[in-house]
Amino acid sequence: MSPLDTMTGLGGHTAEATRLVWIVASAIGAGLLVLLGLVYRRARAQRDLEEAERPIAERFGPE
Amino acid sequence: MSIRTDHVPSQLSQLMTLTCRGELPHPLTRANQLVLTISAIVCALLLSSIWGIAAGSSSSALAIANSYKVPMVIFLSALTTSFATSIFSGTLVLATLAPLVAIYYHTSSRAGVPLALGSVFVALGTATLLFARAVKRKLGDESRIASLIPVIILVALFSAALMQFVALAAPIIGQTGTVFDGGFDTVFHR
Repeated sequence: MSPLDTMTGLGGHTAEATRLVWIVASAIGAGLLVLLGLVYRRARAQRDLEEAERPIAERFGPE
Repeated sequence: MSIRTDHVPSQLSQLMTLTCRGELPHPLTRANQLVLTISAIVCALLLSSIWGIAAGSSSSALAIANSYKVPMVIFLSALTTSFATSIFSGTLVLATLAPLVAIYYHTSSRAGVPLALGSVFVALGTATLLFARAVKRKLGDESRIASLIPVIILVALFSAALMQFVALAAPIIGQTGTVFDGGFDTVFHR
């Protein structure tokens, strides 16, 4: 059956086709969220390092 | 350890300062900006989930589905743009209005759906205004028209993506649905 056989109003596609698009989009979104989590961990480690170094730089850095 | 906590306010505190005042008292490092941006996105998703549960509270299945669907719709729509803190402020409005949406859903057949839809437009308006303020601050007072163009383009992109993702994830508001459940085709049906 073609995705265009039963008109549902959403681009003329069947409900199954629309659901499949939603599942694919959600999977991409979930994947990107995981990626964001990894980027966050890395950025946070970098930020913590910068924050730890700041008092040292303020104390011993150039005037 | 105490030195760090003195210098670094909590991420939520920084986000709220950025939302209310438009800028932070101290400039952020690149790593700090990234941390704050991702925190804004995650907070926005959690806040939108609260609204989703309220908007779908007419049935437990819809409420549970909305707790995942609404954040995903906002996240996927936000991929077309990059105004994380503005989306955070918009979802903050959504979460604030969530109890009102829920109570009207269960006590009024006439005001429930319009109120839920209205809260979305109020949130979208708030996010747009705050985004415009942020862009204006970046570009300066002289280039007012120059700051308006990216705001219009990005908000139009976000709205266009949001409309179709809402249609894909429908139903979100109520069992009978809204005109937005059919996406662009039903909203601009003539």
